[in-house]
Amino acid sequence: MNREDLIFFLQQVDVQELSLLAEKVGESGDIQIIQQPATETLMVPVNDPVNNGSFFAGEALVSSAVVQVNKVNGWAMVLDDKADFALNIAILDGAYGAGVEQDSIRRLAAQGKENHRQQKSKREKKVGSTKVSFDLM
Amino acid sequence: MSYVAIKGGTQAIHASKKLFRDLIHEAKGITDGELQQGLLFACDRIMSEGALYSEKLAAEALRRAGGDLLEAAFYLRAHRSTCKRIGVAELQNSNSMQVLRRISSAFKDVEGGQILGPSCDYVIRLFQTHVQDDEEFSPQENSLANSTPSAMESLRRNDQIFTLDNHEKKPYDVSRSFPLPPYPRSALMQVMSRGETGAMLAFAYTSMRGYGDVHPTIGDLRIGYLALEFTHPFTGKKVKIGEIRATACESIGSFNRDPRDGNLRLSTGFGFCFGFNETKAITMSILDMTMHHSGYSVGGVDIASNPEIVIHHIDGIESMGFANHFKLPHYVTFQADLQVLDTAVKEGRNE
Repeated sequence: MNREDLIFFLQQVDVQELSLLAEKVGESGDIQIIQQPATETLMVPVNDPVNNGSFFAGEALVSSAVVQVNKVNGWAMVLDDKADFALNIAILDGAYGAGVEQDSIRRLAAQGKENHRQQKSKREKKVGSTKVSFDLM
Repeated sequence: MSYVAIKGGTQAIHASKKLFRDLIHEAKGITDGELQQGLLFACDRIMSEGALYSEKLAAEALRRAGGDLLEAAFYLRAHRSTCKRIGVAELQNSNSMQVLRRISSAFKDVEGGQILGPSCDYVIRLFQTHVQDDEEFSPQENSLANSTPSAMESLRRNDQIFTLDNHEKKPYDVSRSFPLPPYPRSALMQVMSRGETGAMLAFAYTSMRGYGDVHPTIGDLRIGYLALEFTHPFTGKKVKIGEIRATACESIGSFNRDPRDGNLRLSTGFGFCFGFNETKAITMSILDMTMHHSGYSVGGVDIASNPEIVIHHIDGIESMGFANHFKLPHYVTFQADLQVLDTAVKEGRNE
């Protein structure tokens, strides 16, 4: 699993599990919080098919945090006001980069990936049942 | 100015705010999750019209406003202005949407299929429960395509679609400064994307009914999820940070002569907004078409094709603010009005 995949898939597990693993990282590595989790906004540009240009639909509220684990930078950004997710995932991102608890992080992210796959599959099954082919009269 | 400063009334104002909270109970007993799910379309309108995607704050705003959607959108717009803007997300393309619903009124058979998805289009609007009971049915299992390109793609491939010129190097941002006419297309699209659904519907309806000449065919209407991506600051690679709900609509009008080569092509309009709101996306696509193709204007006097009218009158928070400011004390100015009236009456008697 790539480091970039962690941020989304780790959001799919319970924040308590993230917190426990982040604590474990703290036991075997040195965690420095460079930027406490803060809410910020991201502009959201949208492709405009009428002129092949783009425009802004609005902004998305995101929470982000920056840490160092054994002097290796870790970062996370999550959608919405979720400070606890941002901080814990930033720690795990830094730890993954620093080679601390990599297997545990990979396992937790894989669990998140599976949770997301199951949710998506359940949703697609329901959506698929509404697929229609109309007959012309 | 038509109002004056006043002072006093602090205690009464505190009591009024408390009475308001008591009146609405701030939806106590309903969790944020229940508000987000049970009142999904309300939350989506708040995010779209507040121009800030935050399911958590939309539910909180709905709670604090007692269900008043304009007021709730105001909370989000105000909160947006207090936040640091960290950057620009990766460009969203509605063709890469994970669709929940996708329909085309133009083509019966489209790549990816017609997907009714979750919709109240087929609900009978009567309260009697026996009318609503669905017959027993066994849901059919159908596979969904990984990607669902717009149903308009075939028309584009056949060079049957009118593509407007793009003169902008980057999109305009009306939240930083408001443009002067002639308005950049991206500014108009941004204003509409965060516009108030009712206002946009009303303006688009004028054109549909006859004060204009639009009767579009919905080429592709979809609701679904889009991946929000940003660049990891330390690896420099793209990262998916979440998924947002969105609605997109491409509508097709009649054909026009393309001034670039003289060929006849179909004109189209595009609508896009945060959350699930088909009415808004459809009306945005209609307004887009009327404003960018003079052929939909009747005598050049209709309002829906006038960017000056549309851009200044569809923002719910601005128009609500203007309407509600009339409630504020205007004691001195009204006394002046009465004096003018007295003078006019006296002058009238003397004539």
